[in-house]
Amino acid sequence: MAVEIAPQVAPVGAQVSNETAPYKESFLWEWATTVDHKKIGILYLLTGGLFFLIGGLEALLVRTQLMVPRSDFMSADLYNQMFTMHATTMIFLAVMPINVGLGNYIVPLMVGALDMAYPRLNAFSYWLYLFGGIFLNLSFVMGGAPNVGWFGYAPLTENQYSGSGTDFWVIGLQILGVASIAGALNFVVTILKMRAPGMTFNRMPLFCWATLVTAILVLFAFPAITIALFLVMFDRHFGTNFYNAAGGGDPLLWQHLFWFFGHPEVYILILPAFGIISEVLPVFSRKPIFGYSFIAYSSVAIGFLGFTVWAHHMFATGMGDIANTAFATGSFLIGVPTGVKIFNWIGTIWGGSVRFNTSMKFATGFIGTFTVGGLSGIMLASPPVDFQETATYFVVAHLHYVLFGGAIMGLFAGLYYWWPKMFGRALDERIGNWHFWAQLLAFNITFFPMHWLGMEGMPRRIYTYFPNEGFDLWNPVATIGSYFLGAAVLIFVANAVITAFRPADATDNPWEASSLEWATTSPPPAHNFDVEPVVYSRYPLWDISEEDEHGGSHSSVSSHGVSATAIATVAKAHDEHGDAHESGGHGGGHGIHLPAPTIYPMILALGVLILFLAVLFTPPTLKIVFVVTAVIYFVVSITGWVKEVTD
Amino acid sequence: MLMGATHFATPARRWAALISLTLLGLVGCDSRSPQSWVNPQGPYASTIYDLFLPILITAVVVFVIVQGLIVYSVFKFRERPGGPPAQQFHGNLTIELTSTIITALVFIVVLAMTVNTQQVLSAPLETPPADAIHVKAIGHQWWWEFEYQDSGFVTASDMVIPTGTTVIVEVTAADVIHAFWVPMLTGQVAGIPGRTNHIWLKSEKDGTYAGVCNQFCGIQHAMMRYAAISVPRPEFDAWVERQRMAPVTPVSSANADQSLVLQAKGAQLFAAGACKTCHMIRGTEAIGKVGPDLTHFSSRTSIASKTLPSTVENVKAWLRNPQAVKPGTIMPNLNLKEEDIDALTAYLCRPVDPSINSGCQVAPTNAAKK
Repeated sequence: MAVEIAPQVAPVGAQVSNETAPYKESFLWEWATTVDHKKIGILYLLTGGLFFLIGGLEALLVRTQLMVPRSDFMSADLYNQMFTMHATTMIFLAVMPINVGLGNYIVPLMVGALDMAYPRLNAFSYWLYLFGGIFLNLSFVMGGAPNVGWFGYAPLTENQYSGSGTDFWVIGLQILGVASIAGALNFVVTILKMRAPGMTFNRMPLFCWATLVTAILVLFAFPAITIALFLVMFDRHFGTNFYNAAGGGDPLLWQHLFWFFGHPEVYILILPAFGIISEVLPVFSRKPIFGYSFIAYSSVAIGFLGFTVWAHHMFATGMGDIANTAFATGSFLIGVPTGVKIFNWIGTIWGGSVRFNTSMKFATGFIGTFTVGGLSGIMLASPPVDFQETATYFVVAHLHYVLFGGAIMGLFAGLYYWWPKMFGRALDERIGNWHFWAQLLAFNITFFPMHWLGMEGMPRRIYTYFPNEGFDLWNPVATIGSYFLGAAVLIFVANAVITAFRPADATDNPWEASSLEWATTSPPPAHNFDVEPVVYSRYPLWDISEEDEHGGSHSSVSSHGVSATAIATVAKAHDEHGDAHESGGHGGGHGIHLPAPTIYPMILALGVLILFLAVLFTPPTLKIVFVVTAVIYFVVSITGWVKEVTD
Repeated sequence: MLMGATHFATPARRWAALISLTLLGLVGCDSRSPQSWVNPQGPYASTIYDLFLPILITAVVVFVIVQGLIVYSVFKFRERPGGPPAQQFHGNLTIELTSTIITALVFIVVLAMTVNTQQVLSAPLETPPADAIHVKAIGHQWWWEFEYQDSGFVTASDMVIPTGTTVIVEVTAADVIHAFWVPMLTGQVAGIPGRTNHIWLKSEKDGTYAGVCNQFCGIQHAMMRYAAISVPRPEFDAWVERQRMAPVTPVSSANADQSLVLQAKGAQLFAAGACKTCHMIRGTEAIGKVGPDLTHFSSRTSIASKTLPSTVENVKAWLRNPQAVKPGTIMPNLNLKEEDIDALTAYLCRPVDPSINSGCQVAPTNAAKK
């Protein structure tokens, strides 16, 4: 098969530069077959962004229902579907994939690699994620969306208590789990094996540290929920009793398995934001990060400790004082590295020369709002206090300060920061300024009153409440805040659309940043770097030598732009891809190998969607036909994939 | 209005409350909330509140320091033309170690206070007071059943308790997981099928305290409410006696008045119709276990888990179509005829003891009236 280099990456809708491609492929085919980590990253970001808007819309519907007491805006069942899908969408279809999208685009560039370690697997992860997301949302028109909560506590998920929405939820999460695990493997291998010469662990950018730890968390956490979901499926369809107390099972088993995944999942969502902040703050403070080692190793510590605290979600299940104390201790322990990180970030700003642009605003906003989430987390970590707070709006406030005030704020900092690198043009600073202040204000109006609602005893997940019971004031305030929050997010969308029509004039390193992704063009060529970069320090583009790092006294880095000499011009061909193809003379004669585009990852992923829809919705007699067809389908598409690789 | 002002404990505690409320702006809290746990009315809830307050104050202090540092450093170290260049330092071991140790120390103190509180909270379960009463709370979709274990009767949605007496509550569930919670009196604990958990509560003051299910349990999770009604011990004992009485089934006779005729018709309908498949009334043929036991139904303050107050009109509305009152509830619309609804209502709402209440209108005791 003919092998082509994907043309230089360009933003969606923009003119694709075709100078280097021997023939032009159709726009859709090019994106459907791409194995370029940058294009896959953009696909992740676009899809994740779309699901973020859908999840946001679901949140606004939830808030509208709660605006006034005894509202009949929507039915109880629809409300339950909405909050279940809001959480499921935001966690699995928005925040995680946007993290993965940024990582996909940036990490290979940051470590000076040509692509992700397994480009085709990377494409497969994306398509599986897309089809998994579509599968989950198809439930809205196929018998009702999941309505058991994103945490799906057994035995509510058993057959006798919930309908086909639960099947969509179980299978949808399984599909997304496979996508996440495949993606995580790719990150781990990329970061461990494909760093540029000279980039030791101690010189690795902190975003890479965060991504590495996140990926390892995915690898260890997802198997727990995979097993837990299989047991639900067995209970529902094959008559087992894993979670059925009457049949000798135990509903609590689900909670242990789920939270063994669920708590690390929180760190899977937030650690990439920690990484982004640790990149953005030094660049816009014009000085090195404060306490590099502490931030890097504390991410590892948080990742490890994250597996020891799962049952703090279960204090009120009657585990007893000893177990509760043990999990409380773990939770306080994990607060130490997290808390000190906050001081490290402030220490990074301290003494700097702060450029308070939009990315930096989001980064500092992140520290402020995430701190609130951390502090309410300490209250929840104390079992007796938790007895009064758990499953109330206090927890809703807490988790949104962590996941919106933390993860989303961090992601916006990262988007404003890397936008010129990804799309060749920066987002508008003036609109960005509006976006930030509107979002910060609206966020706090929406979620801060929820602390008070929680203290007044308002339970989570209730579709309505009564008048004159203390909930009449702050619910409408939160609802109005949420509308402003939605508007603030739309300001960002407008910013992205407006700037897309501007000339792509971004320089290689518009922020005068220090890491390798800024050493190549904006956007980078398909092969990322014309020459393989070699790294001599933590801040290769700031050209800080080892002596300076230890001496701690360097003249202002702000005078340094990209130092061409900082990257040794080692014209060594990348051939880490054993399965790579000759690029056909592209890349200025450097002999760079790039993997060929292929449609098979998408075909294979599509098969998963079709298979599960068929199994769920065909009469029993036809199921066997579908399973046999599916097996043939998978054999054919995997054969096609492998054959393409070995041709 | 400050919530701490109604706190029943010492002046010192009141001051602590006042300070923290001012700090946090707890003024946002609405004192009318009948399920506000920052307005504790019993020792369990106030023990937790006493742990919560110092943690809250610490959190507020840390919040002010961190936000202050962020705002100060961003403003003070902003880039200015001709301003000083950024200082190129990579960290400061002393500061990092100090902040680690201080953070850890704060957590150790909080953990110590936590362990202490846990012991206080667990003590009455390990050695219950001699006069304690025992209630088993069983969560159902979507109502709470209360079994008075010392006296051998059950009720639903109203949990009458004696003021000043420790109540040991055994919590479990019949179908899915629920959580028992009376925020002003006690913390929550899960009711899990196949397991039993224990919690205790004690009210210091007569009154009605809101209870809710606080674990998402299906479509009507929001309408799984109940009331802990605290009355003086003598009244409680009298209430128990009335609840233990076998209800008298109304029988029509030739010279019976019209209301008795209607009640008797209702009793027949209940025992003959669909009602008895799901409901129990002691001393009758109705022995269903799916829905609430309706023995002495008229003594209860609410229907459908506090979806509606107990009045004759509300009972009729419920019988006309339960799905309209509480969509998704297990009880189907029985399409009853209007005259049957009248008869059933007359039967269900007849007074437990005519000298005390008139049925489906009044709280079980005068003291519980609000």
